[in-house]
Amino acid sequence: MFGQLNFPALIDQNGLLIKTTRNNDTVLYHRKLSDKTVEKMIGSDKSSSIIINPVEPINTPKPICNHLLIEFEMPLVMAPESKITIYLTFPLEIGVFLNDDNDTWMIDLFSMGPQKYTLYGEPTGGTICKYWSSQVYTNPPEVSPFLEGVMELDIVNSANEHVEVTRAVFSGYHMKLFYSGDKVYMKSILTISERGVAETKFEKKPASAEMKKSLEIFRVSKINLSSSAYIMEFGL
Amino acid sequence: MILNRILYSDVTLLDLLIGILIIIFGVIFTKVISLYIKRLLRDQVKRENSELISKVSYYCLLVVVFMAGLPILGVNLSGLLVAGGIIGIALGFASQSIVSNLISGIFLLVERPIKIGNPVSIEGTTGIVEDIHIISTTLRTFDGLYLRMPNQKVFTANITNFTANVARRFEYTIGIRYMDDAELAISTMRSVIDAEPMALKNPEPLIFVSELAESSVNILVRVWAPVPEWYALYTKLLWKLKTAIEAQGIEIPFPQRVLWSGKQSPDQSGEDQVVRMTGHHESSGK
Repeated sequence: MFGQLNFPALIDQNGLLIKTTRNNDTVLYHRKLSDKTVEKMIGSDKSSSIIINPVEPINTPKPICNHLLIEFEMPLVMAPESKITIYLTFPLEIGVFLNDDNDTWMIDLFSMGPQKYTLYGEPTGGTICKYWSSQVYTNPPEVSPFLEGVMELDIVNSANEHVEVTRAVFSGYHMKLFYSGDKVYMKSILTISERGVAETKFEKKPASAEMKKSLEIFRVSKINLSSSAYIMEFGL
Repeated sequence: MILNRILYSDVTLLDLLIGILIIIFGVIFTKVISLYIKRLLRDQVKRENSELISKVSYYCLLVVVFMAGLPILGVNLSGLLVAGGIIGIALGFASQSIVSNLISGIFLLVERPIKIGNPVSIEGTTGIVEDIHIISTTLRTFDGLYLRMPNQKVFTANITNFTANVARRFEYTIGIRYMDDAELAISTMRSVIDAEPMALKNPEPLIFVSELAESSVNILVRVWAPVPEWYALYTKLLWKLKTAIEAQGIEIPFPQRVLWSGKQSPDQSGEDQVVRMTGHHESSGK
């Protein structure tokens, strides 16, 4: 499903219907998912295709937060000064972009999975995050297409004591998603500096050369003096 | 030439015109610059920060304009500082409330207990902060009225800021009949809340029997929500909970009274009669 689709486009799978039809200078976009239907008329005599890409999974049902929190279904205890690689799942959100002479504009955004938010930290100064619960895998798991993606997470414990990790929080500003066919992939690093404090950041390279980089909708539009890493200061 | 005619001190007519023009155009230029800065920062920083930066730059530029124009008009700024002592005392007594509001306004901008766009309650008055000026703060009440409050009153008042934090809790008290299964009611309500995206996973919702009341078993439901979404969730969740528990056969009772009476006549067996009265009116259908 992911990739560029020329008009007229038609996708009908897994309960999702996407259809585009051109009528002279306008394009009619139609999307039906479960019992929800979205239709848009696009005025463009130049557009000839749409791009369907996985996007940062923090925008639905409403764009009220900038972070994703993945809770481990099984706590992970890291030995002092150790490094391991695990695999998690993350929720997928799908963006539909209008493609006009190398300029893209998002016309639709949806998710096929459950939605939930949570608070990381205290109500006074914490962070509202999109919530997802994942099993911890030692190998890339098979996931439900269009519902979940796979995250490869390197965990580095640079502290000289054991640390129990039960969750990881990621910033949406610097997420890098890659896809190949219907599989979606992210690679990130969680570095524990001391008990209860860690930082997460994303790798810019895909798992394999055949993977394509997904379009980003969460660009840094504010004056951002912070680095690309997110500091988990409210505990692991 | 008439323009070289001295009006007062060493100030000629030409100097006066130049000074006035500098001040007028300087004020206009200052206003344009501050608007440009606000527009430039609109998509870059939050609204309250862009307003603050715009205001600070406006007043700083205004000071520069007057410092450039006043000497041309013959106003000796250094002399003002020397002579200002006595005048300052006199002005101080005359304008102490204005100065007090000005100082309070500066402290409001520094301490920032309220920001532009925040819904707040200040000494019982609720509304949304429209702007924080140097002398006063303007609110828009929830029914759309314009309200101006002197900054001194704002700064010294008890302020409740409804959106200063990221999450907020609300609660319902839902009564069920004594004969209904409270555990089933609680689990049903928990399922409804768990399915609601804006009901935060953490802090976890609390649902428990809080009171064995006169007419019902009261269940307290406490839910946390992100501050921008709490009111929308608060207004829609209660009905969802009500319909969900009713679908399980659990009812929300009307106020009830149980009347006990003694023997009504000597030929009765002596059993007490019990009449249970509720607010539920059954249609006879006849």
